[in-house]
Amino acid sequence: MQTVKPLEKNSFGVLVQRLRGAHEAELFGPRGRLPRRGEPDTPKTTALLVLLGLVLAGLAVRLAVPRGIWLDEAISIHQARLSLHDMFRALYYGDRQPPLYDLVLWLTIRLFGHGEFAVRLPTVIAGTLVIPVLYELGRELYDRRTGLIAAAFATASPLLVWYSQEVRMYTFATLFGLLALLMQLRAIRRGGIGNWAGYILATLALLWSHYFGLLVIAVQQLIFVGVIVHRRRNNEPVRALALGFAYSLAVLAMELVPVIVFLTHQYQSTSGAAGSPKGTYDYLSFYAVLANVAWSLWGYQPNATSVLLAALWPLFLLGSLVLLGRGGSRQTTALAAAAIGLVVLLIVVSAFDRSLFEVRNFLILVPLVLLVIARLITGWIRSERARLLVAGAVTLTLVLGLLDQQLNKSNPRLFDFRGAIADIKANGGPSTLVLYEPADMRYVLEYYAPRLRSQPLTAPVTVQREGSPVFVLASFQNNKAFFNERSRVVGQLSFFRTFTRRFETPQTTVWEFR
Amino acid sequence: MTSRPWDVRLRRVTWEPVPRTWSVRHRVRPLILIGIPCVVWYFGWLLNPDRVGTPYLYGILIAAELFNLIQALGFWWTVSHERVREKRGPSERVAVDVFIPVYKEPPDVVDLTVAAAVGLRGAEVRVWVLDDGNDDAMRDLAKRYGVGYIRRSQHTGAKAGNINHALAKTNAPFIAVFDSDHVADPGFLEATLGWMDDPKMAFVQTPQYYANTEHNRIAAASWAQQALFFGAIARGKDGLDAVFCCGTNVLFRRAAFESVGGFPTNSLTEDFELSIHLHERGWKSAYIPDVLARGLGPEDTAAYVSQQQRWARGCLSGIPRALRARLPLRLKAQYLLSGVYFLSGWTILIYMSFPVIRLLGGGQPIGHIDAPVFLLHFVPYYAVALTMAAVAGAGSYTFAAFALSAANFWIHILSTIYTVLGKKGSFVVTPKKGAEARQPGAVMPALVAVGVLVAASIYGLAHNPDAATINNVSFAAVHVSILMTGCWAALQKPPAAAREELGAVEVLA
Repeated sequence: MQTVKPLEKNSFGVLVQRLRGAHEAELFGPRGRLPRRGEPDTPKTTALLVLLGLVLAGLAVRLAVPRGIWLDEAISIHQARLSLHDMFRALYYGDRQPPLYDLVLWLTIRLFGHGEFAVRLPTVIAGTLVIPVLYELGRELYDRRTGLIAAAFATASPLLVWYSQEVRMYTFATLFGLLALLMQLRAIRRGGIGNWAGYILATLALLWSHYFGLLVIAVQQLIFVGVIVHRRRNNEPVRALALGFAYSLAVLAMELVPVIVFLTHQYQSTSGAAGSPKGTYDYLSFYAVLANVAWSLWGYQPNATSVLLAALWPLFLLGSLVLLGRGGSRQTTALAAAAIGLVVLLIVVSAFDRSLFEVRNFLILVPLVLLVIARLITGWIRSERARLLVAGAVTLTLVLGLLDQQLNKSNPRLFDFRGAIADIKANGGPSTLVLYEPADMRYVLEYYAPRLRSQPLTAPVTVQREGSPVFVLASFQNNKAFFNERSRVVGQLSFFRTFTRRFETPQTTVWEFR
Repeated sequence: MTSRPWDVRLRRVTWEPVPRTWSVRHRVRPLILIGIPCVVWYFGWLLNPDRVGTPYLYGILIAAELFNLIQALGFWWTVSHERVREKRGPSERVAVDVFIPVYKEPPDVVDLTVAAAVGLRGAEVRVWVLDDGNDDAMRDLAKRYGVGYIRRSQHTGAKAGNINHALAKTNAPFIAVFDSDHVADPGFLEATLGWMDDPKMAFVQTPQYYANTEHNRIAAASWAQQALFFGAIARGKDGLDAVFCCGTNVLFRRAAFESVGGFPTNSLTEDFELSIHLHERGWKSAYIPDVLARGLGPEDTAAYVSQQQRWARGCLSGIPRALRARLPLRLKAQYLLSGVYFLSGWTILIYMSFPVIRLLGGGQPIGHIDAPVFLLHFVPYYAVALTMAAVAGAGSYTFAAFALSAANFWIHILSTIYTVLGKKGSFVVTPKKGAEARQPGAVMPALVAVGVLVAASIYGLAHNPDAATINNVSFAAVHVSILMTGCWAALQKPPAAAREELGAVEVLA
């Protein structure tokens, strides 16, 4: 369904369009073939070859996982190793996320086992697919060149890589969120059963991947309403679009009922139990926002680096000034508005629960921001060489951030339980007892050392044979309650037993007693 | 017939002065409702004595912030009173003297101006070339078009003196004034004369539009500054009955002119002072937002600097006159707001100085706080202020315009010093053609500022690369980026003349 007049073909029309800065195709009209100032777009074959290279590079980067399984991942693996019935039961009573990802993980484990490579496979694949989907979104919105630059950014984006390697649902939500946006755009522009079906399926997958998908879906409905109002105002046909919108809305509404039932039950069952330990978060501050922004671009960095990155905030003032008088592109405005709308919704939601304002919960914003940056580069910079230079420089900062995130042991999100447990296994005997904290550490121990005797730090220490080693495995020691509990137990053990040694791996400390 | 078949001033106007959808007043009023609490939130926090860091720096910061606040509130107040006048044709046929003051401008620039003036409709038009440059080519040009030519024996009072001299030689009840580069639309008088039916109407001003912006950075940035003024601000001033004359593209009533003795000749911005005189005597003014003449903006940095220096000196020296003026408070405030705008370069100098002082080991204006707390209070106010500029400018005010203005901060400083010292300035006509070489000298003060900021940043990073230093280096980087953007055109090889790059297809039908 074509709803917007095509660009004028005569030279005067083109000239007037250029003078008004309206050289880009209408946001919701047919995709323009002239990317910018009449220059040709990247040839299709070249674009596909480059994209293939980026996808392979992205896959390689995502497969190179330097870290072990941490708490949340171990919980997901534990649940996925149960029977299907028990897994759903565990999710229904003991988690806070919808079950689509866990279902995929359950199938993966049945097919490939539960080794680290196998359990990471679904997210590695989904995270790699983010690259071509982002390219396609960029191509659909702007042109191939923008799509390629955005895809290059996504290949090296530290946070996208991080969550492509994590055995959790965040990358699924990102992939399906992007797909939902892409299919929505196509449905609006071209209509067609296939596009509408694609939109509905992607939206449903998003909804069943992460509850924050609801925010994305809310923004999408606003986009539909905005386009319908815009078209009505311009006396353009809206019937087909309105029908598609109404149908998709009806399907979503029907699907929302079980989701809300699931969600409500989960929150009632887990209130006060799930999520990160209490005391980990303070109030939502500008620093938290800045730190999350820095993380979203350059990944998880040591706190000292994050503080330095947050100190760069005056550059945002520059960015806001540079935007003055640059409101010409509807695509970018809509994209930025959608991203800002999402952030606002997140801030509103986070006002009720500070722990929700975490970059992983709005991971979908990362590719959108990368796309906006790619468009700023292709839209503002005239020289091809300068464009490549700037895109390369941005990619380089992302690669540096990625390397630091993946290899720096001071990364605040790096919990090396694998290393700590390997050391315990190597130095303990068959009668070794591991006292762990927090309580969810049991899933990690179950994964890496299922035969090791272990119990929570809070449980009373059972009678031990003389000389059998006792290890205290503790993490989250910035939490006051955990710190106090661990200090109490270590103090008691020091009194009754011989303290042998203490060693640390990232965010994990082990005390050994004989 | 002109000396060439086409000219950028014949191109279609690409500026839409009035937004097609919501009016500016409807856009900004809700923003003002949001903005006022933000102002109270920020300044209530900032003015708390607990915020004092280094006392003298704090005092300077407060002065700068209050100055900016006054400018911001004045801007909001002005644009929220937007009035959009329609074109209004004459009710009877009258005679109009059309003055084109010239002073050694290239004849090929004036040629089209005269040709367009001859083609004005809607009145008995008598075109006069007022030649203050004793240029025989101008006389020939006037003769060729069959228009009047006036040359003075004594060239006193610059443009003002030139027009005053012509007043005595002519007698039509209305006078239209066009600068030598401004090509009038044939319908200029048909759009403005009708407003002269009000016997108290002294003048009708129209926008000073630059047509040479497509291929020239300076002209484009300069026009973006003009567009904000001749857009929302001028319409807002009209809504407050406070439009002042801008010296070109304006229609006067001779009686009003004569009632105040013509243009004051002791000012660099004779139009600004003339407006005060007229308003004091109860005359009215009006503003038609439609582009009814197309001129040439400064094409190089030196020309821009020259123009800005003249405006700054004139408006700053007009401040005492505005303060003394027997005007309603509303009008007086509008004149003062326009005058004190040319002090804003001081605030840029102040803001640039803070990171330098901090990086060199000195103090900082605000103490005992961390960035999140500052941002929590500052960002809402900043966001509203910036949004207001973007909304009121309807996208016409650009970063390049802001940067060009900021990079020439020193003009305001120098002009203030000269004005305070009572040093006389001379009227310099803005050059109508760009230079053919780089002009680093025209931006030297800004380049020195860049050098100082960079040096301080290097020093700071070398001595103590902590978060506070990074923060101040970021501020320095912001200033350097803005200054370099403003200076860039002067440091680049000038582009080929715009008029050589346009095809005949683009001319106005």
